[in-house]
Amino acid sequence: MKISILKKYFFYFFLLLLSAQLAPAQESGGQLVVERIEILGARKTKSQVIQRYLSFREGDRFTPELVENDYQTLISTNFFKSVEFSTKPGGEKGKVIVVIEVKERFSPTLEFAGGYGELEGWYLSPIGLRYDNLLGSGHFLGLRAIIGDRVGGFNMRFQQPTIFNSSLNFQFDIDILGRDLIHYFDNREAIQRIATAGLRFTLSGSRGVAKYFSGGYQTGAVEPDSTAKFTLNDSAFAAFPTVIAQNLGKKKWGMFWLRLQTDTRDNVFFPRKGIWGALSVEMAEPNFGGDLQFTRTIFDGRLYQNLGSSVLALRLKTATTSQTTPFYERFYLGGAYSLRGFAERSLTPAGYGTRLYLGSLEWRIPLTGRDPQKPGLIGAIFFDAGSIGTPETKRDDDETFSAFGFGFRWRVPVVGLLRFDFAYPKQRPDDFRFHLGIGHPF
Amino acid sequence: MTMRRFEGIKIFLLLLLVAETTAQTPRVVSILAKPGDGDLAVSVQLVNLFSPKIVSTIRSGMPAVIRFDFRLLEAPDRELQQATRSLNILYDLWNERYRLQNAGREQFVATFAELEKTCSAFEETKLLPLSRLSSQKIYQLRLQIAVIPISAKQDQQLRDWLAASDDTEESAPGEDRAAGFRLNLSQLLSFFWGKKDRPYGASDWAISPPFQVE
Repeated sequence: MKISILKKYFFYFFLLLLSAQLAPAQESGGQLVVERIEILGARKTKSQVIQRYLSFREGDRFTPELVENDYQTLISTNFFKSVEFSTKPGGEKGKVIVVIEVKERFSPTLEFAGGYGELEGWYLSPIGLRYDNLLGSGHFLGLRAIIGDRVGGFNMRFQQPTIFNSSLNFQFDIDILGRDLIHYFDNREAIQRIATAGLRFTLSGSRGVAKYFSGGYQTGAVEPDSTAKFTLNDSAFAAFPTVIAQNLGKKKWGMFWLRLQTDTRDNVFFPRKGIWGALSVEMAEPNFGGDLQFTRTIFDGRLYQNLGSSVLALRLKTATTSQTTPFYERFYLGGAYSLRGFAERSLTPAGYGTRLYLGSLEWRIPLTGRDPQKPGLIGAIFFDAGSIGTPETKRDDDETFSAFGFGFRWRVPVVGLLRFDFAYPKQRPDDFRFHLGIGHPF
Repeated sequence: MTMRRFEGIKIFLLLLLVAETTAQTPRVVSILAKPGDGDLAVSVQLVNLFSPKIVSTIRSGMPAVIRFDFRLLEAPDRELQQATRSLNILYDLWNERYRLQNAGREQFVATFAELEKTCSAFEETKLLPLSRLSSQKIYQLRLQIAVIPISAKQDQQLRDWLAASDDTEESAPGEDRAAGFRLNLSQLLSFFWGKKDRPYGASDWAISPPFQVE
């Protein structure tokens, strides 16, 4: 039953993707057209780096709305202290020469960051160093320290949006992190520290067919603590179930991954229409440079449809992995970004799950704010359902958990969208749960 | 020889003129506030309104915005209220006329000279209801104007990066979800402690003579 529903969603997913590709272009009668683009003030930044962020080319229609969007995009690259668009009359009536004047940033910048992640919980990066566009080729380079209630360590990221003048993006990450993994043993929460150090190389496309694919390789080492602590009384214990005990000790991993993806959303942070989804396959093998051997497949699809000023959002996530997958690479259920109404990972079986289903339906209603893409206050009504299983249990026996609730998302300067969700689990109707997070859950 | 020297002087004067024109920023020549007909009315005279960059933007058919930033002060220096007004200018290439838009009202002029004249002087424009002011106090009005090509949104850099700072950490579908914010500390520090540049295309602040309502 679940498989047939999944097939149906796959069908709609690709049908919508196809229709998005076939949308006709609009006529340009009576509009201004770009004759030429002139870039001033760029001493180190290559002109193609700036042009990459523009939504128009020579011969395209030109409107003030394009300027507003592209100005915002260029400013948020952090490459420039200031950006100014102006125009000059072109050689013919109706043609314009677009002049973009920039003041470049030459020194590195310091950064403060924070947020909420499914793995990390609440975290802060009190200090980070960014040296973007150092050589004028439009790369992003950052180093930051991270501390949080379930995480601590360092991350370095290098991102080159275009390599060899192609539509391929390259990203390189180094992570040295300690993470606290939440377990539930007999309904008691326990924390186990997992130390990881890893490198991750990612190649992704930005145009044409390539934009539907990304892939990469990651390697590193992982070492779970041989003890865990119950959060209630801080007492340590080492008597883990076999599924955890057999994966203790230091392990190396080498993994290739490939992702088929699409993103047709009209806005990344408050999508009102479109699809965002991916089907990813990850494969870890001793031949790839490690001790671990497993295959993991995840489908995560999200559909957004505006209903007047409100938005109906749907998420469907299903995932499966090999029996040999160590517990720290398996799946979990419950929490603010997973199945609301239940504590973080509280529905996860001991040793974590090897198959997962998660579905959410949410109706988002802007309550205040003039900009429909950036409402100040958003109300939400939602329904979440999901199940998780292990190799030791039969798929048909997996219990389906569900919850319904309501919430508010409040746009706070700097921090972004603060989320307050109140959820009532169907299985424990008297156990109402409050979730605080950043951003929409999906 | 004399001819060549004359040519040299001409080029020098031309260069001076070019330098002067390039550095052109708008200037508020006079600002006068007085009560009248239930409202506080303000008269403003401006010069150097349109730099060559603004002129070519307008002539190419793209809009420009004149933003008036008023501050009502209780003399000598206590800021009571802020008010912003915008005047949008657009050259209609196909009908060859200039359109001015202000608070929903439209006006058309045929030539650039007329446009400049219309935009450079405002007589007794209503700003605030007098009921908001006290007859016991002495007030002054400060004004800064800015002429911005294409869109007024190009003049909101601080607001823009503060708002954009929440737009980070979006994870890919299928990956563990993470959402957060990022704040450029260097930009924040330089905003509060760095050299204060006048916004591009903006005039200096001008202040009206003190006035009182009856």
